[in-house]
Amino acid sequence: MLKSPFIKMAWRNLWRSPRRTLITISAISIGLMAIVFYFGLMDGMNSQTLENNIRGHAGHIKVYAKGYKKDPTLSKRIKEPGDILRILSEEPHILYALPRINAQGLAATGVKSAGVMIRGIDLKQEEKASDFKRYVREGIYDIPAGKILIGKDLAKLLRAGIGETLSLIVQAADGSIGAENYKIGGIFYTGEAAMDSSLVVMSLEDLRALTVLGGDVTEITVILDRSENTKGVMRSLEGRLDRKGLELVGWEELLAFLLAMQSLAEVFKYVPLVILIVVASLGILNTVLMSVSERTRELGIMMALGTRPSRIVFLILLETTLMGIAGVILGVTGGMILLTYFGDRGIDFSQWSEGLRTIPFHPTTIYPVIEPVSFYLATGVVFVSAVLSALYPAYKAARLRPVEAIHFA
Amino acid sequence: MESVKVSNLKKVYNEKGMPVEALRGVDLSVEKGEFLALVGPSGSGKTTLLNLIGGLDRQTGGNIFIEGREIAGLSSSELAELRLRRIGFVFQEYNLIPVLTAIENVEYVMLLQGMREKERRERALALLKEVGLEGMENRRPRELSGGQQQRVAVARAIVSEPAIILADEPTANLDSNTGAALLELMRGLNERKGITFIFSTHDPMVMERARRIVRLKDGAIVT
Repeated sequence: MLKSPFIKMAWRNLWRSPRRTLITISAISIGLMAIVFYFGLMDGMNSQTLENNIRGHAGHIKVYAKGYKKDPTLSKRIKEPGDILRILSEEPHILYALPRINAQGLAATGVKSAGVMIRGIDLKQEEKASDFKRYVREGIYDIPAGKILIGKDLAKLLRAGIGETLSLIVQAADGSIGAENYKIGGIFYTGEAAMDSSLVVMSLEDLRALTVLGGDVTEITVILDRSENTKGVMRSLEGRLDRKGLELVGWEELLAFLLAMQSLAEVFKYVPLVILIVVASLGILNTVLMSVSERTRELGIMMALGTRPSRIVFLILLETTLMGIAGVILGVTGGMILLTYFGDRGIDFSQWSEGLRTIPFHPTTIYPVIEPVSFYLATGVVFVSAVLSALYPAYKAARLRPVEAIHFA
Repeated sequence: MESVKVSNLKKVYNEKGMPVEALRGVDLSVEKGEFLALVGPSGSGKTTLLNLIGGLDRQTGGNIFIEGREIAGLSSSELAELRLRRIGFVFQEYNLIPVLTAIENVEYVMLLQGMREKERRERALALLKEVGLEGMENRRPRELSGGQQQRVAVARAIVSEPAIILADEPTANLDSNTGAALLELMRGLNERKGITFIFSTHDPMVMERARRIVRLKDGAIVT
């Protein structure tokens, strides 16, 4: 085909009006850079929110006794978990295996009462695995014997504050009623409504004593080195744990609602891209129309010499393709520089954190990431749109009648 | 065989809603190797006749034969192909593609014909030498005088050895010396290579050198 000489012609045609060409290339590159960075920010926020939820409470995998999922009561518990914890500690990719007890109960002050979910944890281990500490807004992140942490909304409901006494009442594992008083040592706010309004956190030992659970636990929360290893680890453990009457639940099931919300939000992520495409396409369309109009006589001469209409279209699309390539290269380079720079340092959104608090376990500092799919999609769509926006002017040029074009005034 | 034959050729334009008869039933035969001038005042139809013969416009009625082939029913692409292979053009102005050098302008037609790079280059260099532009191959049109640009246009027109060259007022924007030199060049090519030249002109210099003059008035041939 007539590639090389036509490419030369197209390239030289672009520089007949350097300012116009540079403005068009800049429009493509700046727009693409902004979109690539925006996608990186959104993808970073989503993945960090997911990671915060995993690290904050859900874990990558939960180990339960069979039947606990359907009936989450103390009767369905993991007896003497030492064996299981040993198995988990030997499994590759597992960083932490955190024994926990969950129990439902009633919390009461002298004035108010509310149904609560009480969670017993080993704070020393949990501190290494989770950054729950940063969600504690009042008091201290510590649960020595007799101290508890409660959610902000629960504190408000019970009209209780730091240092005040809360009575907790549960049905114990042996059927008796367990009741004890605890001092509120800290108040947390995660943004997740259910947790903030009903979760009480205490030490594993305190809850064991309250629920008469002995050495048993109701779940083991597993934290892995990478989320991508979840399925592999579950496959590896399933057989062995199944024989011990246990089942595994992965984070995709545990955080299904969050994932669904993020999928929905993903659609809105593309709205700025659509706006950019429309605006940039109109700009390019106008630029190419002007360029074609200025060259009407020349195009007429080319047709007189025997240039087919299809080659005229090819030439004009080639010019736009070259601008598109230049714009994409610059835009991608700029976007990658921004993503790399801020990907290391993060962007602090804490001054807007009140608004961000509507998102459970939101990150206040966002580290943009480069997700290949988003990246290639944005680049591909912008490039293709740029080229397609020249179709109409190219078609108009090809439809020129040579005699009119040559004598065009 | 005749290079060009037109019979009962008609062309009607629509100008501001009013029909204008640019050609009113023209009959003309041009033999191979002729050096012919179409002469007449503005509005006589000479440029229209030239445009129709060159397939740049479509007639309203009548027939046009180029080397015995009727061109009325040809598509835009077929007409482009005909112009590429069999017809050369020299226009009054804006002949050259501004972003291409002199040699690239001459090579352009051969490029469209699919000729190889080496062969293109060799022929283009030879032709530029023949039209007296040796050493100016790499100049852009803006770096050439009007006369030099027209010489490049002539080189480009003959490069594919067409059956006919149609020249629409080629000397109109040139001074008399340059115009005369250009005409001598074209006359020489006509005599040496037997290329048919048809001019549209009201330049006396062209009329003097033409071997045959066809006069038009109000869209019809008068002599």
